[in-house]
Amino acid sequence: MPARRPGGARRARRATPYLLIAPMVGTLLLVLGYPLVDMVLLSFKDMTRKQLFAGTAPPWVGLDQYRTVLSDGFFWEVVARTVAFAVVCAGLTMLCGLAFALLLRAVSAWVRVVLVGVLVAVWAMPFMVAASVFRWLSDADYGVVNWLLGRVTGADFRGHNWFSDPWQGFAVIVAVVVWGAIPFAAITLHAALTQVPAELEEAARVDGARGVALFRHVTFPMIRPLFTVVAALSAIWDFGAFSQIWLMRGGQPERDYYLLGVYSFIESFAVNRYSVGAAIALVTVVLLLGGSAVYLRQVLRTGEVE
Amino acid sequence: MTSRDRRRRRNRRIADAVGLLAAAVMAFPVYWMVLTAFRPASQILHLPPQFWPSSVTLDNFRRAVSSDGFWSNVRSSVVIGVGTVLISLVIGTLAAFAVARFAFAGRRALVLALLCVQTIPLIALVIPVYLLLNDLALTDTLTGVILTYLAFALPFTVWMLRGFIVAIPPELEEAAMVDGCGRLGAFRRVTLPLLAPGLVATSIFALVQAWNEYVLAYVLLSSNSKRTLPIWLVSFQTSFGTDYGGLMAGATLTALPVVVAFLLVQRRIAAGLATGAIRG
Amino acid sequence: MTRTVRGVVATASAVALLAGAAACESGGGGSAKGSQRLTVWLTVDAQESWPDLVESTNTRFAQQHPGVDVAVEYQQWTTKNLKLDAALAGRDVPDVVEMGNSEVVNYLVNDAFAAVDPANYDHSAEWLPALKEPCELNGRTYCVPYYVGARVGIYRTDLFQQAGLSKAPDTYPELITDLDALKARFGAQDHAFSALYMPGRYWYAALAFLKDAGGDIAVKTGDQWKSALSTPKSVAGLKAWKDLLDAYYVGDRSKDNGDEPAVVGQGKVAMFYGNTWEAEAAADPQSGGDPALKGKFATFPFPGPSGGPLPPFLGGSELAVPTKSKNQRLAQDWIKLFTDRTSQQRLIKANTLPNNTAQLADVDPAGVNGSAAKAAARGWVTPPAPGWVAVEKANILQEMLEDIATGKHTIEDATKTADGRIDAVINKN
Repeated sequence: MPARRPGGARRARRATPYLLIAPMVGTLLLVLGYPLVDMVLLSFKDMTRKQLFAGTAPPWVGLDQYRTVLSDGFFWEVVARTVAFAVVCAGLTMLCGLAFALLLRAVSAWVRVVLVGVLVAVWAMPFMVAASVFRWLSDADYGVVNWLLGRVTGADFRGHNWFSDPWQGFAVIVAVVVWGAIPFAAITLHAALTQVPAELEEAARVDGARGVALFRHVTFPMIRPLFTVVAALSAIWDFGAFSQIWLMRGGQPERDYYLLGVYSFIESFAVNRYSVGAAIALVTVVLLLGGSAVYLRQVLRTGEVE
Repeated sequence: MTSRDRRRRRNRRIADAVGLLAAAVMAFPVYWMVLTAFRPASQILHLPPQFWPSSVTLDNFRRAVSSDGFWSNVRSSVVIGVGTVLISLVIGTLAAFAVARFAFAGRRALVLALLCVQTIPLIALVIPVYLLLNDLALTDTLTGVILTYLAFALPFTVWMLRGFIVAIPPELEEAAMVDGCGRLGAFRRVTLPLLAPGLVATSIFALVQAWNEYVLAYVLLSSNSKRTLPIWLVSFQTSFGTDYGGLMAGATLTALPVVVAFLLVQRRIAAGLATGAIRG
Repeated sequence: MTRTVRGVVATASAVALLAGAAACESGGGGSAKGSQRLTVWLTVDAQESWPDLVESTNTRFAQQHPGVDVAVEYQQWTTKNLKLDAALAGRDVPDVVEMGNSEVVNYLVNDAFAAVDPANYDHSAEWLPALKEPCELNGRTYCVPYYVGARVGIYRTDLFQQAGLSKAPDTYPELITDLDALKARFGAQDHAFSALYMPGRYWYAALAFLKDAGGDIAVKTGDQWKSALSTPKSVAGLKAWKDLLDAYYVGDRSKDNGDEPAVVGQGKVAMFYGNTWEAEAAADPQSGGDPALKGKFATFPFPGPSGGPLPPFLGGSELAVPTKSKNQRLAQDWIKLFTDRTSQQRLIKANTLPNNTAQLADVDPAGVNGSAAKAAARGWVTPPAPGWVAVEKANILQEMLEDIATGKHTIEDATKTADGRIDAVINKN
């Protein structure tokens, strides 16, 4: 054991975490620093294309954009719809993801390769293409879904338009979103399950635990940190979902289909009210952070070492 | 003994059947995409639906592959995808280790900031990011795009890996440290191998995000030769109609490398898992 | 330890290799290297339909300006403006940009493009009003007309024959009789058969009826635009459209005409309203059409209820030079070559319409594009208001028409709501 001067070792140890996080913090500050500050400031101004092109400073309007956004009844309607959407999607994703993860553990090796291959293929499919396929499948006149439903139930589903009623339309969109999100949840939870030592479950089984009880009291607590990570991430992404709604409505979403991500994008880039779009984006961030306060507290408490 | 084995085998067979059924349901849209790539586009909207091609054609693929700049687009996508993943894995693992295992001033703020950053839609920042890269002379460069992608790949990677590391009991590292390794050495020898499945899941996700991202790549890249595959895919849509056959063929070609890459990595990781399990 | 060191070295070298590969590409940060460089942004339409025209223009340009390197970059309609906004805010500005004639006004009002002198361009005195008007602001011209498309009636000649119809309808009553005959002959047996393909969100078609009845989308009084969709004439036009749709269209009313080639290609449509190139798209396997239908389509000027041909929406493109461009003279020279009469001939061959009335006569009247050339005289374009692009991007018209077509709202209610939404944005830049 080489002799080390205690003071030097302590100083080196104290510096270690900062050195480890330095590259990440540096990169993020570089790429996100200026753009974020720019967007925050933009939400307090009123910028048009003219100022954007000429590089002149747009007029400062203080909290006007926020006032317009927050006092608009339609905005709160969109918020409510987004919250409901995120909860449903994240819930279904985690349920199905967990089911798939457990399935992956229970099947033979070759079936596992097939299943994982399918999951990765689903994951890798470019979303624009997946949207086209789902649009064809749910097509009112020629879609497979209507045809299948007709065969199975005997009722005539020909010409049934899934998107004329927003509830049904969102059912389709939720299916698309969850379908695309399952691979991430399934593969991550499966990775987490492999970290659970087999001896633990064996010991519990020897003690008489079976099935659901075994899962609830032994397996799940071991994967809980990762489960909450994945659940939180899913909820965050689903809250900000944009391209799925956009593409499923052919780039022309009806007002009934607006979620916060769509609303912000249309205000910023379609209608070119950049400042309003920036305000909506920031309000979305604040709402999300508020919503995840409970999760945050738990995260900050766990992983407390030394 | 034998009855338990029989029950286990039966359970396994049931699980296999369910697994294959689940795979079939999940894979159906992928199957439809590949199907459309191999048959004439006139059969896309057809009643009754045809689940098997009545005529197989390679025309769509030929058209896709022979389009302008396809191979340079592939190269761009590969460089950007692999670059983003490697850099975010290296930087991200170090940062995740720090956040998970050390208590230091500002740790809570950092965790909060990481979560905060992930709630911001990157598309909302597209114009300021472009202007920033313009000032750094990094527009129309693959490096610029990789840098931009790190903005979502890094927080995600650190967040995920932190979760995986926290799930690994620190006692294992402490045991290694008693044996004479330093902090980092213990991490390398003990935790990293156990982290392997987590690293794979995280890197696949980062790869897929970078591989399929469209808006930022389109705004930040200009030269036809530097463009990525998603931009190439959207060009199948013109005012004169969309070449769906070519688009599906292109999409199949686009998705294939990711699946292949994963299957290759998957086998090595499975081997690593086995040794990890033995060591316990 | 050594294995980990090897691992780290391998990773580091991989990263370095990638950085090198990436760096090799990063020569083009934007600075010219010796020779001058002209950057042209055209949409993927040009790449798809007349790449040879782009080539020949570049060759002719090289003869006039040797040593200038022309880089044509093809842009996507859906995100082109986002990219343009970013580029115009920065330093690497393209020199020539293709803009749609509905979206260019907002850019003019925001000082994005440089003024051009029409005298420099071929046939500029005869430029089509639908392309010329969006380019004009305060008496000056800020972009150059490129090409237009006009919508006409397209029908299946074989289905017409089978229904006992010898020619295309000339008047509106004839149209109704013909559609009834087709519906009786084919619609009775096949419930998926539509005598006329008219999806609900197809606003170019619906508003043609509005215009035919003498209505307007928006009217300018003084310097303020006001939406006019709920005026009696506009409502009458939309009613005629809805009646036609109700009687003869059997498919999904909440779609626009995006799936047209595939649906028409299924053979269940006798007549539809579209751009001339759409006649061939329905037989083009690449667009989802059925090659067996090749040669079975013909065009005719679609009669309107008022007695004349239905006024077609003249959707087209313009070419503009950004004010921040550093090669304005070169850019204007390139545009001049790309839009002169020889180039227009090539565009006519691709079944689009030229940018001037003089060459409309060059379009073969008997050919597929002949009806379009005839109808173009009565054509219309979207209101050249500063905020019009916001109206289009917020899908106000499409939602209104979908509500009317699906019966969710009456025409009066739907148009009033749309008027309110349009008025809120149409005057803003």
